[in-house]
Order: sequence, then C-alpha cells, then structure tokens
Amino acid sequence: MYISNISFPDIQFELIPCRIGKTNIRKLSIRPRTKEELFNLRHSQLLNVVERIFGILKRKFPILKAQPEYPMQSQVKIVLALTGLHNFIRKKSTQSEIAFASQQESDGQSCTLGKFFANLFYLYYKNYINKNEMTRY
Amino acid sequence: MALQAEIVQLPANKCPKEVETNQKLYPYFKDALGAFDGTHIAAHVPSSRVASDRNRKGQVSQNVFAACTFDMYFSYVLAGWEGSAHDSRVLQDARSKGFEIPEGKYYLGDAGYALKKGCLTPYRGVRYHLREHYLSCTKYVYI
Repeated sequence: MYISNISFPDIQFELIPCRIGKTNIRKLSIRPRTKEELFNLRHSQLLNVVERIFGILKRKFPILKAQPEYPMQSQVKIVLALTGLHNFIRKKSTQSEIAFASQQESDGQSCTLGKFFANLFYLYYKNYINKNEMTRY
Repeated sequence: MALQAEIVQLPANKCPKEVETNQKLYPYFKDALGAFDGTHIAAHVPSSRVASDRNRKGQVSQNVFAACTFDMYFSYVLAGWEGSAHDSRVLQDARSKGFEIPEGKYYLGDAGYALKKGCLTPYRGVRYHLREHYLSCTKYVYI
C-alpha cells in the first residue's frame, strides 16, 4: 500500500487522505457551482461523443494500433477508408455498437462478422459503381 | 476513396435531434452541428521523417482530425498530418480543404482549440470534468 494525495483518485492500493475533512469538502461537491461550470458540464456531455467514436474506431479496427509498414500514403488512406466503413456499418447494421464490441471479444465470432460486413460493403460498392456507370451514359 | 467521400458527408444545416429533444442541452447548443477533435494513430514512417512525426507523448504517429455528428457518424475526416502538429493547426488546414461550417452554426471543440467562429470551446480556468470526478468519488465512497 502506498500513500498518495488526492490527485490520484483512481489508482488501486493507495491510501488517499480522508475526503470528508473540512478542507476538502468543497472539492468533493460534484454539483456545478457557477454558470460557467454548468456550461462546461453540458459541454462535456456532448463532446464525449467524439471521444467515444475514436474509441469505437480503434477497438473495431485493430490495424489502427498495429503500426503497419505501408507507405505513408496508404496509411492515410487506411484511416479514411475505415472511417467510411464505420459509417457504413452504423447505417446498415441492425446490431447496436455495444453488441458488436462484446461479440468482438469472443474470437471465433469476429472473423465471420468481419466477413459479413466485408460482403455487405462489396455489394454496396458494386451498386455504387453501377449507379455511376448508368449516369455516365 | 470516392466511396468514402460518398459515405462520410457533412450534416444537414439544422438542429440535431439529440439536442432538440433534450431540454437541458437545447438552450446552450441549439446551433451546434456536431463535435470535433484530433487523435493520434500510430504510423510507420521513413527515418528521415521520424523527428517531425513524433508526438508529445513520444510515439511516432499521424494526427487525424475528425468531426462527427451526435448520432455517432463521422462527418469529416482529415488524416495524414504529422504527429507533432497541433490540433488547432490541423483544424485550420481542414477548414481550407472543404470542412465548411455554415454561417451562424458551430461545432463543439475541446480546450485545445481557440474560441473562433464555428468552434465552441469550454470555459477556461473552471472545473470541467465534473462527471468523471463524480464517478470516481462514488467508487471511493462505496468501497
């Protein structure tokens, strides 16, 4: 057990000073006290959507963490393509994101799921090409 | 890439449903279209470029700027900036490359961005992560 101060509230096996003391009671209150703090609270509620979307993207496509040895140009394209794929999956999939993430954890399922989405994406792509060719002529 | 441009599109110029139906959020953010932020994605670069691609945490990465709507769709992505670039500089570049914010509307950004037209940032010097603090407190109390 280590003794530390309140700036490390989350770490386990640490002895944190008692927060209910007179000096720390104001820090403990979680309600916003001023209008600026209330604004910041509402702001953080909405802004966390972008943090979540990055988390989902990196978890869904582990290649983003893998540092692949492709030319820089391809690495940029990979990121762009995967964001497109994310939007596509969200639009077409009937599963919720949480269900998808939990299914990814069990290894056997993730492969088939990936193939399923790849097929869907391919169909959509073919459709898109056909549409474009139709408009061209 | 053409397909990506078709799927990842800027949102319609109206109040999103998530904000419109939420009475707590509507008065503050009725003109918000979405939120944007930058993230770092690990990259493999030639040794001549390693110095400029190293980010402030010491890893070699590319800086990816992304804007998204509140229903979790990407609406604009700009990848390929070196990891040493600051988020606000990437935003400046994105806005010159087709990330258009309509007049009178704005996106939400974090404290790393400057408070400019089209970007709403939180108040500085005031507590921000109230909710997270709350969670850690409850954990502590219940244990």
